[in-house]
Amino acid sequence: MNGWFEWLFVGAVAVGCIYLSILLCDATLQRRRAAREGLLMRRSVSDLVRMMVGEERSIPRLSLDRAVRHRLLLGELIARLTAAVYGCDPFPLAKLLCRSKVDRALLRIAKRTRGLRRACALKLLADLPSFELVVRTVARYRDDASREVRFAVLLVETASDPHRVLQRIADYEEPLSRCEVAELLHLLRRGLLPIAYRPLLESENGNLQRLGVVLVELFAIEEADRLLLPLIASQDRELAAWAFRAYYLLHRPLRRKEVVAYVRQMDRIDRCILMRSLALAGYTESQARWLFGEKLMPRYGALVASFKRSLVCG
Amino acid sequence: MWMMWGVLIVAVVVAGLRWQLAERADDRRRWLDRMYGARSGTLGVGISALVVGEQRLERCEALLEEEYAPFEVVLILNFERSLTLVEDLHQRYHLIRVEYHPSGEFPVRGVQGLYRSRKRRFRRLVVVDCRAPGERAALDVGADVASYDYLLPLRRHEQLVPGGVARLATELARQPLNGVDQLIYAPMLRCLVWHRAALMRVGGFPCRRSSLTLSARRVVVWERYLRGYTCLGGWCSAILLTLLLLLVGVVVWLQCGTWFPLAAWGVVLLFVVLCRARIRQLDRLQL
Repeated sequence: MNGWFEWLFVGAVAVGCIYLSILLCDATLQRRRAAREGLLMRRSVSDLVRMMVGEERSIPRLSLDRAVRHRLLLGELIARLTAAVYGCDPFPLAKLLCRSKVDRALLRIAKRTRGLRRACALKLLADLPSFELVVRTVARYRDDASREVRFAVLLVETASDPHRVLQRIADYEEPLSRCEVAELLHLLRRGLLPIAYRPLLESENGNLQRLGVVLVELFAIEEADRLLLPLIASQDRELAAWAFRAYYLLHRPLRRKEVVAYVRQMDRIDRCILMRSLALAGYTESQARWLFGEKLMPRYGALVASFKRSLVCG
Repeated sequence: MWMMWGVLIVAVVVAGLRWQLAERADDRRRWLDRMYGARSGTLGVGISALVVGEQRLERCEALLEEEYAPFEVVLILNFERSLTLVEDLHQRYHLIRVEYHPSGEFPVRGVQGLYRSRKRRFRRLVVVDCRAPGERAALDVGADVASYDYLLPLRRHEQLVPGGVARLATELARQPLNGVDQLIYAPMLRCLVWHRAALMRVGGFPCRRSSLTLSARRVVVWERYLRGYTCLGGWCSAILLTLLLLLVGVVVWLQCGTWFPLAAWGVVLLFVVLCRARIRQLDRLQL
């Protein structure tokens, strides 16, 4: 084997050893600092809560402000508080973040890293009150190779500009997964998304329809059932599955031609799974007979009886 | 000498690959932990944990403390062999006997009774008195009794990491609704979560723990979801790799007159050991 290759190989492995040693030492030091950092975070919580509820007019000097390494902890703390509180004024928090340069630290991390690490930094930015500069900087990652990064960019843009939320979701090129829709609905708790389901369900955009379906399911909006029926009959199988699930969770009548047509295209095993879901949702045998016919009714009866939890006496 | 360098290159590549997979798994864990939407219960993923062969009340309590809402624990016990645990369960959870109606989805036998709690706060616990021989039969009974579509069999000594259920549900919710047949846990090379439909198609739980169906609808995860198991495959490969490297080192020492191959061997061994240490460190973080 050539001499230069051997030296190159050994050199590369030695660099790998040094890098691993640094990672190991850093993680060990972090573990030792964790207790102290936890204490600093707990001390800062009461100051932050007073600022959020308006008792404290000026921006407090927090223990977490003082060290560079603690900026990210401050960002985490504010993100967690924002997730747990509804309707707070974001302006004091935004001023605090600006003073502590948390957003710049996170943007630097996003620039230096790739993949999920970049997505985590952007997600943290989305959970914080953000500025226009952040949104402009983050826009460069819209075409990133990682799906999680692209979704995190959508969250940042959505959180910063509530007036264009629906437009941004409609423009998002990929179909949203259930997990992503749940995350977008989490923004609803911060008052950033409208809860008008009708325009969403009547829209022609698949992502807006998905959002509307999960919204209807989350808030149990029974009067939306008529709008769900066309989605159950749609060609998009994933959307049809979501709409059907929302429909039966709302405990709506099963004697609809769209519902019957949807169930008819299932195979035997999928129908058994559906029977279990309908029994769990509380449909009686007479309501389900319309879908499954007499042959499968004894099995449905057994499921209903098991979920009703009949007591054994004696 | 060619063979020696070949062994060293393979050792570095294998150790490095495993390290990178562990780093990615840790990144994915951090990403899933940031998905707060999972806590709202709109993921559309319900998980039933099927616990077989349990002997301790504390483990059952730990499972019931999971915050994820559409989650239940089905405890399959042989009441004759677990008298102490059964007494503790009755006392702690105020169990009452309810009727058992087999759904016909799985081959079930040996079920003597089904119990649930009188208290609403323990409604996610189901206890089955099952005398059927073998773990597979017990799991089939658990699958028949379970309410949700995703089934998570847990054997003796296996525990979920805290927050593991919400993370599993978020991972499953990234796929189409009911679109995952199996979630493969790569560190143990076995199926961690089954979809009920996939199990019905194969007629119940497979005999071998590591059995994987040929379904294309699989998700593979590397991040740590279980603890309390011995990953025999992982330890065996680590020991074999170290022994192989030691053997190479001895050959180098005996045959070569120069110091360079010995130094190369030493650097590679150090790299493998550091990779292993980093993987263990990441595992501990996930626990």
